[in-house]
Amino acid sequence: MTPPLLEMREISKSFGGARALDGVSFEVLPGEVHALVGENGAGKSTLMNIASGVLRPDAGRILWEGRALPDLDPRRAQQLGIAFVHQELALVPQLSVAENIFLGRHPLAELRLVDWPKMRERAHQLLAELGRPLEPDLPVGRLSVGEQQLVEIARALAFQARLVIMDEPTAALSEHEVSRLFQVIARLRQRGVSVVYITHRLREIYQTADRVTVLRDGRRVVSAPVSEMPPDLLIRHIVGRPAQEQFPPPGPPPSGPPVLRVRALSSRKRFQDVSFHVRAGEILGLAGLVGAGRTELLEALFGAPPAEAGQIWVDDRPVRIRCPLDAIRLGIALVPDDRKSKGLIPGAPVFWNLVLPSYRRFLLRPSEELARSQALMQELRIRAPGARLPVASLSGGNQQKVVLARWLLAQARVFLMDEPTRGIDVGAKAEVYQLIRRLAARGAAVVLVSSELEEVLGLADRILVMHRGRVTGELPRGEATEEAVMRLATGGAA
Amino acid sequence: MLSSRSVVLAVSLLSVILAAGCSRANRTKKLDIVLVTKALDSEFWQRLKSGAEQAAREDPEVRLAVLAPEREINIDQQVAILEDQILKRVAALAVAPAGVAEIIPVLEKARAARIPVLIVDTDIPWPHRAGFVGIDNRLGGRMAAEFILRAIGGRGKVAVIRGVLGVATQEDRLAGFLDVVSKAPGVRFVGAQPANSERPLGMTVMENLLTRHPDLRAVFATNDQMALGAMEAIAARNLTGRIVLVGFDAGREAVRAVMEGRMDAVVAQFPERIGRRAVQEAIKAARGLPVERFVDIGTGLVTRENAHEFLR
Amino acid sequence: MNSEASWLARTLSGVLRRFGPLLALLLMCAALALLSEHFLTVDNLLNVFRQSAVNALLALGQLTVIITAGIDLSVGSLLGLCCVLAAMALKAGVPSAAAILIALGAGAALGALNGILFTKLRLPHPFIPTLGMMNVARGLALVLTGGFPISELPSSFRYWGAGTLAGVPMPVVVVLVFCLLFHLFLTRTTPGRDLYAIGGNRQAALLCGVPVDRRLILAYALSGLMAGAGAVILAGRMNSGFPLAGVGAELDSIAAVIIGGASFFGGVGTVLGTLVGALIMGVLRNGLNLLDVSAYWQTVVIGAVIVAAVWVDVVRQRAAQRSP
Repeated sequence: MTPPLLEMREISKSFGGARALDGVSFEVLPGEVHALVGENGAGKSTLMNIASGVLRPDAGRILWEGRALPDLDPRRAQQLGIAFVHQELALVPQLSVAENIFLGRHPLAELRLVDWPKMRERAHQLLAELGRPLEPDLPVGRLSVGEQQLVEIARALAFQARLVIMDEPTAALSEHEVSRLFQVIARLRQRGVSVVYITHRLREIYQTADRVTVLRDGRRVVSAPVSEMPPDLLIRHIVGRPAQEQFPPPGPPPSGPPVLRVRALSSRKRFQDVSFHVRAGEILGLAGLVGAGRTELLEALFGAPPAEAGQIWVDDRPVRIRCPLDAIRLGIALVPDDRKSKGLIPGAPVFWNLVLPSYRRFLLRPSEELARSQALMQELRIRAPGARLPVASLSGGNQQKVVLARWLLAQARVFLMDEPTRGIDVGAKAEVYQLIRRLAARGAAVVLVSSELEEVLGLADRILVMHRGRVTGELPRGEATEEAVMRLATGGAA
Repeated sequence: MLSSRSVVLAVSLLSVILAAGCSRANRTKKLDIVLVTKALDSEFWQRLKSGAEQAAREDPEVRLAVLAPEREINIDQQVAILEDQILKRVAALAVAPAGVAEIIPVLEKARAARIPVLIVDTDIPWPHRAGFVGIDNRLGGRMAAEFILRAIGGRGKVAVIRGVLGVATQEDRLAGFLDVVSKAPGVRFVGAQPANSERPLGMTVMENLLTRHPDLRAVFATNDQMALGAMEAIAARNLTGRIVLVGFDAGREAVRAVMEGRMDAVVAQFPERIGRRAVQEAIKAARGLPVERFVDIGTGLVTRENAHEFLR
Repeated sequence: MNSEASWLARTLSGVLRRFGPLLALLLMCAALALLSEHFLTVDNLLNVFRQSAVNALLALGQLTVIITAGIDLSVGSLLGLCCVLAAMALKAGVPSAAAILIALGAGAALGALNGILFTKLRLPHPFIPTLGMMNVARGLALVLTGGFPISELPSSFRYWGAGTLAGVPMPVVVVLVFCLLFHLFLTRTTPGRDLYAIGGNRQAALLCGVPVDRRLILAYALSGLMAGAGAVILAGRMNSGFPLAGVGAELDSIAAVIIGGASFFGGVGTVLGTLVGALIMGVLRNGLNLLDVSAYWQTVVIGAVIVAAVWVDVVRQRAAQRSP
């Protein structure tokens, strides 16, 4: 029997006083796709950083094809053929596709000059092998996120990678790009390249992986072939308790008057002629591919920046929303798609992040703000060591709950939610779903944008589908299937 | 975290202690004389300082410190230095004032602390000064003008490139120059352009003058640095020798330029002598001895004939 | 046992983070007191305070801007221009109180213009408009005066720079009053907190309903206002409005804010820290003056302290990112 390509035995690692990994063993077989899952903080990234030589383990051994690697560093890892495709892509946007692929290892002609024709040709060849011929001369900054990822994978192949580690590669991809990525992964497998695939999206494990390893609190819970691991069992392993019903049951069909109504909203190039309404107590799903204009639409409803044409009514009164402050005064809330860059003030205390939109009188009221924040944190089970600590010290799921909670404090009635579960773990996702449903039950109107189709299908009372900036169809809860939504989202007729 | 903080502390403390260690090598009861110049960033001030230090070495009881702000325009920094020295109750101060009205309030403080103050290089209208050591800048300006009149035969356009406005030395040099030029009927004075006593600005101003007045015959720059800048501008247009150029101060570079014929003359100050006399007079004042009201160090004119004497 | 030790280390590092600059200042004072018998005298300490006053005022304004992750390069030139404007007004027979209002008003208005240029013209970084203002204001000061200082100001004006109140020099009184006002503004009011929010994450602050543009304009106006206040003190102290006043002062004010523990990345900084930062610079200069060390060496020392302080800031940031 051939030895595993990579074998990690009894790896332990601590940061300061915190134990990140506790005797974890992990092996990757040649040519397999191995999913690595677990909640945030379970130790996935630490383990893979050790595998790629970025971090050194405190204890444990690493073997490559059965031979011990006592002193693995990033250089050695690269020589062996270990490539790490990070969540934040490490490309130079101004340089071309070919230059990025060969960055630091340009093929050289005579006089040590860069051999441009050869470089272009090989770049083209590599991308073709991955099934996606891209123009090698295009600057990488002009590519979509999915295409950039491809460049990074091609880069791994260019130096004969034998193990490619992908950290949440689909987090920023549209459904369409995800399926293309899976094709690429399949081709890698055909070439005998092993893949370690870190993800929060359980469905993807079943679509692409051969085996799965679950980490929890720095320990390995289980490693098994995917075929022997049904979803509820997998969830139970991840969260450490029986799987709850993931999506809460829908409430009675909403029948109240529309809280928010929009007609012929347009913003040059971003979306055109969008009309819809959402009622009190209703969750309106907004489906579509990345780039369909959903994020831009939500931000326009929030005045950041406002739409260029069209009308908006709140409670049947026509309103003008020129800036976020206007929207907030009307009871509208935005949960932005990227909590890091748009949602949180990372260095500021948790309670500041909670009270910022609601406490706007000239003088601050620190004790009242703190008390109400703490009550809210308890109610929503936001796990934080203290309300005065920087919000950056919270886990991703709890950070997301802070972004949601601030609008409860502001007593918003219309919630515009853009990817409210992006990058948070399974347990936190379920809590967010329940929170959204509870908001609706209390009479809030929710507009929900998500790239995870099952999320929209599981939560929304009604689904609006967008394609290239236009609404291409509307589906009530009963009629919404994945196929129907995808057909509308890709521009096909309903 | 902990260690990095301590490093900052260590850096600042260490530098303080090191600096202090240098200056505290031999401290006994001595006569503390402090010379505060406008700056120490040019040959002129450095030579003045070395003259001062020489005078201090000749008297074993004297301990001299020469201090200055970073640049001549940092008047507030000069005031701070003076305040701190007054607090130390030094025996006497010799000051080359960077400002006029700006500096008088702090000198009044010195008077209140009974510290005699000698003014050096740039005189100010402060009646309580113990004395003034410097040159007659107006006379220097006249010397430059007379040289120029002879060189151009009393006919043609002349211009002045001057230093910072409002500084007495600069005003006096210009006034002396105009005393002479205004009485020469054949000469047309086309103006005094400021160049802040800096070489690059001197060059720029000269370029502009040459463009505006192609028939310019002579230029007086009221310090060496501006004269050297103007010299480059003249050379760049191949006009060396055709335009009479006179500087002021007579630093080595300017004297050498005169020797080589790239500049025509330079009014000479003798900064070592100024520094030397300033300290000698300050020592007298500190000991309560009478001080001359105006010590004129005198000026000279460096021309091609005598330039080698100034290069020693 | 172990947890107790780590608690101790955490508390200690927290104390150091908060009071590090103050501790550095006190240690420096202790060292200087040992080295010079003149240092620890009432007169000298008042000297230090008086000499640091203008920088402290500018630094307070600079602090509000740096908290928003911005920078104001124009304060030194605004100081010079406001000096000149106040002196010209006085020479024209305007009463002292009105001349002071002119200096403060001109500073605030030109500062606000910085903010307007930055926010409304969408210039990419406050470096640009304030760099422009730095040159414009200095140029105007020189044009208005023809380069000549305007001296001999009335004593009712000079009182603010050279007088005393119950034995305390007026500049010190003014600095303390403004410190208190800025402290209250930054810690007790919504606009003050908004500045921290903007510096922490401008986009997030906007999406939380913070009127970002208005607040930024306010921050730059406050910075200009402090340049005006500094001008009143300086012109009074020097008995002159000189157009070259405050050349390089913008860099000193930035240094004071940074030494005082504020972060160049925005969102962090306190009035106490900034005051201590200005005093650290003042004490360094004063101590080295007392020890007869040349101004050029002082510059070297202060430069080293700035780099060290920012380095600490970077290390702190990195540690903060790594810990969770």
